[in-house]
Order: sequence, then structure tokens, then C-alpha cells
Amino acid sequence: MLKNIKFYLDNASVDWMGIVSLVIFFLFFVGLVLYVFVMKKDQVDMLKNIPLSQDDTNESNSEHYEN
Amino acid sequence: MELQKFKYDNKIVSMFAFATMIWGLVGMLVGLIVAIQIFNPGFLHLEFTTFGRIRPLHTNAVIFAFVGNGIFMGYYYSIQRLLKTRMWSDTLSKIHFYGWQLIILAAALTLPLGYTTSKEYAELEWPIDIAIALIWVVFGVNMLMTIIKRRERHLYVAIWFYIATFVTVAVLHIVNSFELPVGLFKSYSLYAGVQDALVQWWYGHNAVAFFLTTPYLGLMYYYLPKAVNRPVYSYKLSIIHFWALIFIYIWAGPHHLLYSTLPDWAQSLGTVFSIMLIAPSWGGMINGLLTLRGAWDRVRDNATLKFFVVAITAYGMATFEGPLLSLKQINAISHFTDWTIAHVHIGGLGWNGMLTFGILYWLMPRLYKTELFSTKMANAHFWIATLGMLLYAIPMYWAGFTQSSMWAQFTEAGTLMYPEFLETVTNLKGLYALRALGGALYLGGAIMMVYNLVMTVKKGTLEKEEEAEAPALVGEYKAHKGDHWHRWIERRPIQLTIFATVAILIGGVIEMLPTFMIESNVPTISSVKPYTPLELQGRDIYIREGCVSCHSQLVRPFRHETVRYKGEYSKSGEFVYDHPFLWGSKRTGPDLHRVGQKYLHSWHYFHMANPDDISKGSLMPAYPWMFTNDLDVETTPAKIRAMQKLGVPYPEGYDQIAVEDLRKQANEIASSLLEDKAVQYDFAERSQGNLADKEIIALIAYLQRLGTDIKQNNQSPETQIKK
Repeated sequence: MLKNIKFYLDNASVDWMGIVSLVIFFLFFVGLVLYVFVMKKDQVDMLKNIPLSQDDTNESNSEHYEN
Repeated sequence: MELQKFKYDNKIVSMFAFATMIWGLVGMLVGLIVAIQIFNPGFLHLEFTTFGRIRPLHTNAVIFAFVGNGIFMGYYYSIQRLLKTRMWSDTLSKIHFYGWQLIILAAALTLPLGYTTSKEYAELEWPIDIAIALIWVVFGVNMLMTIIKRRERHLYVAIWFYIATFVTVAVLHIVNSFELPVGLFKSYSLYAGVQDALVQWWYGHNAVAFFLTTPYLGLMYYYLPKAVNRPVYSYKLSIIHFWALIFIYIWAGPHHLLYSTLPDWAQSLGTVFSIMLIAPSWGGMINGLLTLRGAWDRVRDNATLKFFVVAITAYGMATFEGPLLSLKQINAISHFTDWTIAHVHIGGLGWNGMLTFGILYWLMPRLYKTELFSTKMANAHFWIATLGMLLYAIPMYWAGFTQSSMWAQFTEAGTLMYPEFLETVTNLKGLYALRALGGALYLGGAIMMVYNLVMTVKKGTLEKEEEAEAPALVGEYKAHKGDHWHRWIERRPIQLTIFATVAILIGGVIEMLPTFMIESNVPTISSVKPYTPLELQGRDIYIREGCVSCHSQLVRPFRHETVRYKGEYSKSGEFVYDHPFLWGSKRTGPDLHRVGQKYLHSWHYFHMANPDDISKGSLMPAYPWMFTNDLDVETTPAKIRAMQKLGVPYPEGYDQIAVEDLRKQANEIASSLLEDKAVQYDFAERSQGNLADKEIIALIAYLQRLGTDIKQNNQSPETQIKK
């Protein structure tokens, strides 16, 4: 398979595309991982509790709806 | 801070909930009918209910009607609560609901009538395409405006999935629907051949990604924590899951075209990104399952959680299998077989179906302020659905391996072990019957659920307007020291929408532009000529009848395929006038790309009249109406002009003489047919009028043309009629 990739990259003048896609993806993903590692715990807790922090009446007695 | 009082709109949620239940039953029932037809072609055999016409009805109904309404049900409930506000406009909500149902009705009418573009999951014709775009915009505007006027500053991760879904589906639908109308319900794709295939499978794959996956992941991130009453396991993981998923998914489309004539670099790109997809997909699955940590005891007696667990597991299985199937070596075995059908049903029945059922069981008692009518019945539904899913999938995996092995097996003497394609299909009849049983069980479970929920609704009362209160979102947000860019984007829906759009555009642009811009990617062949007017009309009949549902037109570069189909493997240059391409994705019948000139006209005549007469035990339905329907030749000039506009090199003014040419060719084929006494007798029995005027003649003309442009010394038909 690698031989095929090399053949087409060499012959179809599209070598820059493979490199561009790899670079874009790599940079983006590294940036993303770095970001989530430095996120503060209180931020994360606040965000993850958004669905549960509602005061609509249904939620106070959720056991009532156990099924 | 002063609390503002407002009301959640629960009525719209309930309306979509009923729509998803009703269309779910319809879509699954049609699925059961086509599952029976595949081993019993005489079942419900009418012109408007043949397999080729109602198979797209099944796929469209379950994707856009069942899952579509399920998405909107889940959205309208969760968006209002996650943003602490009512939907921006009740009127837009209603237009969205009724518009979507009308589109579904239009699909249910036009597909059986044979109005189809033939592009999978995008079969609906151009007026309906326009309606879909408009209604989608109505939904999007309503959602984005609701986000803008929210009372919750931060956008929870589910909302990001909702936004990405809206944007991407809009882009996919518009780009794939570029077509030139040639009548009220007929159009030709703007793209041809390999380019059309690339756009279609960029769309098809991402319809799975952004209609069946991202919205449901959004729903998972909301309803799973709600049902289990604890936050998602890792919010950090959900951020990575979101961005990595939407960025990578969009690149993976070409894995549907491995060993096709698509340039190899594009195929490899599709494979590489498909493998990478395992990471975010499994990140999402693990995040879902770990959210249940410490609450597994509740799964035992809580039907909603049971459905969620199986749904998330099925998501994990399908997203592991998908990358495997995009490895060339494995794809060589799975492609065009029932393995693909098994794969998509693990996703469809497992992930989408089970998650929808779980949400319905959780949501309906809450909307109607009562308890579920029968918990026991809900639990029974769970087991029946799970059993049905397994009984569906296992025979299909078995059928896939079996058929693929039979195709590729050679004898020691170097000839095909199973030279008759039919043998490889009739061998699967028992497995097809088992699959139908699995489908029937799954449908039976869904009927139980609808009964259970209707009884629940009857004993409760819909709280149409649910009171709520929350502080207003006023003033500028003061950034804390150490805030990060992502925190910034979480507060800004417009920027988030733009970022998500850029992320999904990069992949599509890099994949598609070279195939469109660089000529060397689609080499032309000088002997390939446009279709004659009669062949073009025949091709449109082929499209109308959905022949592409069972017959591919793509001979892959394998020895067993070139030997079986007695010709060269397919080349890009052969398809340059194919608006749309008709490569297909499943071979219930043999490939037809090299069928031209292989059989006599009379073979095709009797085969279309009753396939079983020619190929004993054939699973193909008969097409008697093609022998009584006159071909509509009046559309010919408009079709030729449309093709000219699309770049097909018919001479200038050819539209004026096209009908004359058409009649000439039709008369030649008809008189050659009528030389055969058996044809004379048969035609006199089954029809009236002139044979040359009938649709069957156009279809024969098209079939006899297929793949002959690069056949050397046009060989004479080598197979004599067996009758």
C-alpha cells in the first residue's frame, strides 16, 4: 500500500496535499490536546454540570420517573 | 440577580416524538417488506412496490423520517433546557415540523412512482431537494437565534454537536444536490462519473457522520447524564471527541470507492482518515460508558439505561468495524456484499434505534407528567430489540463472507469455481429469510413501545407550557485570568459555528478539488462516445426502476472479476458522460458494466419479462409494465439539451433530430427481436401496439451499450437463449 501511495504522490503532482493535510491535522490535534490538559478543574466541573443544574420541576423528583 | 420567568415549549417536542414513532414503524415495515422481497421476489410485486423502488423508501424513511424526527425531538427538548430559554420562534418551530413531515410525505409518494436521482440517501428529486434546504434553514435559524438569546452563558458540548450537524448537513445537501432539471420530477447530476461518485460518497459517508452520528452524540451527551443523574465522565474528552470527530470524519468518504476508478491517492486518503477515526469514536464511546460508572446496578431495572448501554456499545462496534472495512484488503472482501448491510444495521438498529427508544422512554413520561404505562413491557422491548438486531446482523455477516468467498474462488484448473453468479445468491436465501425474521422481531418490539407510550400518554396530560425561571444574561462577560481560547469560543456561538464550518470544509475541499481541477486524475478515452437518445432514455428507465440497488456497474481490478465479467476492469474515462454515475454499492445481482453485447436482445427481452424463465431460481422481480408502457419520447429533446449543457458533446442542434434517431434505433432492435417467433408470440400475448414504442426496447438498447466502448472488436453475443 505504501508503495502505491508513494507512486501516486510522485506522479500526480499532489504531493503537497498529503503534507498539508498531515500538518493541518497534526497542529490542530496537538493544540487541542494541550488545551484540554491545561483546563482548570472548576471550569470543567461547571461545564459538565450544565445539563444537571436545571431548576425545572421535573428534575427534583427524578426517582418518580424511574423506569 | 433578578430571575426571569419563561415557559418551555413542550408541545413541539411531543409532536416530533409522535412523528418519530409513527415514521419509525413505517420505515421499519418497508424494511421488512424489502427484506422479504429479496428472497421472495413475488412478494407485494406491483409496479410501485418493486424492491428497486421501495428500497430507497426504506432508507429514506428510517434515516430522515425516523432518525430525523428523533433528532428534532431530542433537540427541541434539550436546547431549551441547556440554554434556559424558550425556542426563539414558535412559528418557525411549527413550520419546521409541518415542513419536514410534508417532505417525508412527498418522498413516500415520489419514490414508489420512480422519481429518483438514484444517488443513495439523496434520491429525492430537485423540487423536494429545494424544500429540504429551505426547511433545514428554518430549523437552523430557529436554533441559532435561540442560542443567541440564551440565558446560559456557556454552550454545553451537546450544543456544539447540534451546531456542527446543522452546518455540515446544509453543506453536504447543497453540494451533492447540484442538478439540472429536465422536468418537474427529473434532473441530471451536474457531476459525471468518477467525480459524481466522489461527491456522492463524500455526501453519503457524511450523511452517516452528520445525520446519524453527530446529532445522536449530542443527544447522548445530554440524555445519558440526565437519565443516570450524574455528569458526563470526562468533559475534557468530550472536547477532543467533538473537534477530532468533525475534523476527521469529513475526509473518510473515499473509503466507499476503494478499487474503483477514483485516483489512488484519494482512496488512500480516505483509508488513512478512516483509521484515525477510531480514536475519537472510541473516545466518545468510552466517555459514554464510563458516565455509568457507579450506576451499573441501575441498568438492571431501568429500561432507558439498558437501551443507552446497547446503543453506545453498538456505536463502538460499528465505529471499530468501519475503519476495518476501509482497509483495502478487507474492503476487497466486504464491498458489494451483505457485510456492508450488516455493518450499517449495527449502526442503524443499535446506535440510532436503541438511543431513540431510550430517549422516548425517558422523555414521554416527563412530558406527560405521569409514569410509564408498563416498565415490564419496556424491558421486554429491550430484549426483543436486542435479539432482533443480532438475528438481523449475524446472518448478514455470514452471507457477506459466503458470497465474497464464492465470487473469488477458482478451481485448480484456473476457472471460476462458481461461474454462475446466481449460485452465489440462491445459496444465501436461508440467511435472507433469517434476516427478515430478525427485522420482524425488531419491528415487533417497536410496536410494543408505541403501544406502551400511547397508553402512557393516555393516562397523563401534556404540560404544553412548562414554567421555568433563570437569571437574565446581561452585561459583558469578564474574562478570568488564565482563560483559554476555547473558553472564549464556548461563549460565542457564531464564532463556534464558523470554526466548525472551516473544520468540515478543509477535508472536502482537499479531496474534491484535485479530482475536478487536475485533468490527469480523470483520464479520458477517445473511443468513449455519448449515449444515443434511445440509450439515454433506457438509462433513465434503469434509474427509475432502481436497478442500481442490486446491480453495480464497476468491475474492480481483481482477476476473479475480470474473468467473471469477461472484460477489462472499469476505467474512469468510461464514465465521463454518466450523469449520474451508477456504480452502485451492493451486488444482489451481477455487475452489469460489461453486460453490453454479451447476450442476445431476446435474452434481455425474456429476462425482463420473467427472470425466472431465463435464470432458474433468480431473485430478480419481473418487469411486465415495460412491455405495455410506451416510451415517453417527448422528453428526448429536453434531455439532450440538458446533457449538452452539462458538457456532453452532442452536435449542435442534435436535440431536433434526436427523436428521429431514437425511433430508427428502436425499430432496428424491435425488428431484430421480432425475427424470433417466441418473441412475436410472447409480445402478442402480453401487450398491444408496436414493440418499437415500448420502454423495454430503450432498456435493452442501454444494457447492450454498457461497457462496449472499450471492448475490442465488438464480440458477438456468446450466450444463446436457453428457452
